[in-house]
Amino acid sequence: MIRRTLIIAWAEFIKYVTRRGFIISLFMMPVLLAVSIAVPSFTAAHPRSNVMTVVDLAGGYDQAIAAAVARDGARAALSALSDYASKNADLKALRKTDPGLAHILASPERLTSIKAFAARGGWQPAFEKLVLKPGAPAFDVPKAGIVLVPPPPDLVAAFASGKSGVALSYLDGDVPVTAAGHSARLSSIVFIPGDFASGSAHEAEYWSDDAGQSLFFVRGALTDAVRLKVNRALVAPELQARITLDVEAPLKAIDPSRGKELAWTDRLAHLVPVGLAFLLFIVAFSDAALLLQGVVEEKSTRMIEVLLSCAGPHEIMTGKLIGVVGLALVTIGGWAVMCLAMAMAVYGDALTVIAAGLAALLPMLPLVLLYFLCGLLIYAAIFLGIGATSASLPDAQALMGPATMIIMLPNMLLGAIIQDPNGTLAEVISWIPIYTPFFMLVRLPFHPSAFELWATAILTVATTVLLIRQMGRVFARHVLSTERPPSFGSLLRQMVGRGKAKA
Amino acid sequence: MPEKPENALAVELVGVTKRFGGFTAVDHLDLALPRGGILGFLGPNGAGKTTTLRLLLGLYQPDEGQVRVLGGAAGDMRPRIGYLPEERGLYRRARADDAIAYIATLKGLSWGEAKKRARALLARFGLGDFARVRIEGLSKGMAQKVQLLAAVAHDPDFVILDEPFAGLDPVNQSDLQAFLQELAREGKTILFSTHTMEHAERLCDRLVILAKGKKRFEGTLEEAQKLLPRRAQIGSAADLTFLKEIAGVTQVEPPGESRPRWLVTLQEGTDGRVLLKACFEHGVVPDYFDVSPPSLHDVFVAVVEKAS
Repeated sequence: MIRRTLIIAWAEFIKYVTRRGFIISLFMMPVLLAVSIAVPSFTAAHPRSNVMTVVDLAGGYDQAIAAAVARDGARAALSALSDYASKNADLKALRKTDPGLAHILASPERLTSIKAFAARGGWQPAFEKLVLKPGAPAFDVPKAGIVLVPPPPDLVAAFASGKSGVALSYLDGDVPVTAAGHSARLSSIVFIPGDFASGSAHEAEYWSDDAGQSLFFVRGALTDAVRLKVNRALVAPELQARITLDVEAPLKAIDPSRGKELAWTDRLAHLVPVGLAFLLFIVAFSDAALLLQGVVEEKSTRMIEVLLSCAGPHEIMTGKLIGVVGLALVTIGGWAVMCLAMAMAVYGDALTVIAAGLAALLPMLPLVLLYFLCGLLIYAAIFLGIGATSASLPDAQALMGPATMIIMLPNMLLGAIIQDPNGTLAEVISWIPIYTPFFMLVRLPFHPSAFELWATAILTVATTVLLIRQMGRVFARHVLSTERPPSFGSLLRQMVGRGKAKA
Repeated sequence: MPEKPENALAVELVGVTKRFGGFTAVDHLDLALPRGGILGFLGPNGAGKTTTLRLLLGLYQPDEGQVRVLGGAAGDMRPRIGYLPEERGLYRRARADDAIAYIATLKGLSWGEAKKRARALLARFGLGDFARVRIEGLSKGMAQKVQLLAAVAHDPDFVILDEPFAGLDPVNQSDLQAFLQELAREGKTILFSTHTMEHAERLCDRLVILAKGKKRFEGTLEEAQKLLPRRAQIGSAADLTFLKEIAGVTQVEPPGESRPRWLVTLQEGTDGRVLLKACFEHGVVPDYFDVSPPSLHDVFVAVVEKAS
C-alpha cells in the first residue's frame, strides 16, 4: 500500500513540477517580490520634491517649518549615509579615527544622532571622514522631499487681503517660482493666519494639488511649534530660550522570556513565521489548487478510473497530498534560494541576516514545521475533496467561491492578531481547527502559553488526520460520479462526517 | 473446502445488486465465468455492463451479494487485473512509454522492468518510434493502443476491456482482435463489453447478455443461437405457402417491404433440405436458398426486446 502511495506521490510531483506554468510561477514570485520592494524603495529614495512656501501672517511659524524641513533633510541624509557606510566603508577604522561619527552612523534613527549630524555640517564632512572600500560606488545624496522657497510678495499680499485666489495661478504653474536656482512650479502653500494660535478659531491652511503630500509633516511641524510657543509662554522671558522639544526618551523593548533586550534577530524571528503563514496561503492557492484542477481533469478523461483499478481511493488521495507537499517544499525552497541570491546581490550581508533570523527561529522549528505542513495538508485536502465532487472546472469554481472565502478569513484578521497576538480574539480564533495552523504560526514568536502550544498542536494534527480521512471518503464516493456536485453545505457535512459516504 | 486460487473461477457474482439512489443498475446478478478464453459482455446502453465491470474491479461495493474475482476479493486482486475503461484517459503530457510504465508500476512491476516492457510492447505494436512522444502528440488510434498496452503491460491474469473497439478504424480493430486472441492463447481471461455483435461473434468463447441490470443469457455462441429457431430464406416469385404442410415447418412468411425473400421458420432438428426438395416437387426452382443459424445480432435483439 505504501509503495503505491509513494508511486502516485512521485508521479503527481513530477507531473506538476515539470509544468511550464509551475516553472514560470517559480521564477515570477521572487521577481514580483523584488519589484514590489525595489519600486517603493526607489520612489522613497527619489521623491518628487514638494516646492513649498509658507505665508506666515502670525510670525515665527515659517521658521519652525523651515527647521523641521532641515531636520527632515538631515535625517534622510544620515539614514542614507549610514546605509552606504555599512556597505562601503571601513567602520572599524572610523571607530578609531572618529568614534563620534561612528556612533552617529551606528544609530541614525536617534534624535541625538540627527542633531549631531546636522551640527557637524551634514553629509559632506561626514562622507569625507569615511575610509571607503575599493570599488565603492559614489554616495547618492537623497533628494530633498520638501524645498522651501520664500513666499512671493503678491501671494502674501493676496492672503493678507483675503484674496487667496491668486494662489491658484502659482499652484497651476502659470506663475513659476525659483527653487534651488531653477524655475519651478509651486506645489504647496502653507498659510498661517495672523491670529493663528492654540485654541484659535482660525486654522492654518495647507494648499496643494497633490492630495495631502507633506500634510502630515506640516501638521507635525506646526503642532511642535504651537506646543513650544505655549510652553514658553508659561515661563519667565529669560528662561524661554531653554524650553525645547528636542528631547528623546530612551526606551528599549525587553523579551520577557529571557529578560533581555529584543535584538534585531528576535525581530527577524517574529517576521519569519508571519512570512510562513503568508506562504501557506500562497502555496495553498497556487500548488494545492493544482490538485483540484488535476482531479477534475482525471475525472473528465476517466484516468481516475484507471488509477482506481490500480490503487484504493485512500492510497490515491494520500499520494496526491504527499505529492503536493513535495511540490510546496520545492516551491518554497526555490523561492528561498532565488530571493537569497537577489538579496545577496543587493546586500552583501544578506546571508548573515537570514542565518541569524533562522537561528533565532530554531527553537520553534518543530512547531513551525508542524503548523505549516498540517495547514498545507488541510487546505490541499479541501481542494482535493472539491475536485473529487466536481465533474468540470465550472462546477469546481462554484464550490471554490465559498471555500475560498472561508479559507481567506484569517488574512482579514491578520492585522488585529499581530497588534495583539495574545489577546482574546487571537486566543479564541486559534481554536478554530482550520485556522489553527495559520494563527499559531503568526503567534508562535509571541510566546503563547505552553498549554495553548501543546493543545493546538494536538488539535492541528487531529484535524489534519480527520480531514484527510473524511476527504478520503468524499473522494471515494464522488470521484467516479459524473453527476452534479453536492451543495457546499452537503460537502461540509460530508467533511465533518455527517453525510453519507458509501462508494 | 475453499477452491485453490489457481483453480478458482475468473468471476463469481452471487446475488449482486448495485443501486444509485432509486435506480437499480445491477439487479441480483449471478455469474460464474470460468478461467481462460474470451468472454463477451453484451447489453444495450444502461444495461449495467459498466457498473458490473466496476464491481469486478472493486471500484464500487455491492449493496447486496458477493463479488469474487480470481478467487479473492475484487480489491485485493488489482495487481492481477488489467483494465481499459470505456472512455479513454491518459495524462496528455505523459510520454507513451512513461504512461504505460506508470500503470504497470502501480500494478507491482519495478520502474525499470515496467519501462522495458512498455518499450517492447510499443515496438511490437508498431509504435516503437513514438515511445517518447507525449500522448497529446499521438493520433486517437495510437493513444488508444497505448492505453490498451498500459492495461496489459504488467502481464495480468484477467483483462477487463470496456468497449475496446470503440473509435478504432477497421485496421486497428483487426490488430486488436488478433492481440486479444493472442492473450487468450497465453491462458489469460479476457472479459470485454461491446455493442458490436460482429466482434463478439468472432472472438468470444462465452457470452453474457445483460438487460435492465439482469442477466438474460449466459453461454456459448451456439447456445445463444439456439435461443431462436432456425430460419430458411428462399428467393422465388412463386407462391411457397405449400411449405406449411411439411413436418417441422412452423411458419412461412412471404416477402415484404423489408425482406425480399420468403422466410420459413423451422423446428429444432428439422433438416432444411426438405424445403428444397418440396420446392422442386412443386416445380419451383428458387433463385436463392439459405438455411443458417440466427445471427448473434438477432439473438441479442430478441433477448433485449423480451426483457423490455
